[in-house]
Amino acid sequence: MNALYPIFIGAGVPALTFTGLWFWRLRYRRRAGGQLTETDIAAKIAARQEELRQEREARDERLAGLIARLLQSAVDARSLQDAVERAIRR
Amino acid sequence: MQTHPWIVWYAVLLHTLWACLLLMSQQPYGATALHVYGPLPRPLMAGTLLIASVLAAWAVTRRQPSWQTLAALLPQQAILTVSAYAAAAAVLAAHYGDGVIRPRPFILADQAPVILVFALHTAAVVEMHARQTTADVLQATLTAMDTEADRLRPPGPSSR
Repeated sequence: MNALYPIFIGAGVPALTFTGLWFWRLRYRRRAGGQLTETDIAAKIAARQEELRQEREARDERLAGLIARLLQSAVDARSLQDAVERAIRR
Repeated sequence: MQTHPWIVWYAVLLHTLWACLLLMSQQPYGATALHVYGPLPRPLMAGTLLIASVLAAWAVTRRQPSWQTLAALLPQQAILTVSAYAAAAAVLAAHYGDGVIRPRPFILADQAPVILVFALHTAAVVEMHARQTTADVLQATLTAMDTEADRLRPPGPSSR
């Protein structure tokens, strides 16, 4: 019977250490779930940056379209003006 | 790992020394901390001590603590636990593992290091694995933000 004590203690203490740390980690993770950790904040910042990047790309494309239409309008106006001047000269 | 768990290295050296002594002779089994392992064959006990030492050395040389490093430290902790139990039992029984009778304070004074090493080793294992340090979290966060900032940085002036 005495020989069982060292075996029991030798296996029990490391097992307790492992399970204790296991539950400690779980508790820490649960508590961290309520408030944002630094990692969560970084992830949110990264997501927001991606969102802003996409918004900027969309805005750039829209502006490029506007500028193209503006240029086309200028070209059209110029050709219209030439046509009008030619008609006046006749 | 970021910390310097000297107590783990102490246990590594102690168990390696015990293993070498056991490979050479039966006599180390007379020591109270080893007497409890007396029924085991010497090569088996020496091999167990060496494996526990190698695992612990591997664990404390990892960069980050993990479940693997924790599991690798537990054999060493188990051996220290049994040795501490043997020391405490010797104090209570007022005789060493080999049967030499001495006053309890004498045995306690003599065997206190074994018990203290067990306590400090357990504290070190828990401290290393209880949670991620703030420095680790901040380092990971800053690395992620740097990567993201580099990705979003507009392209520089083109080479002419």
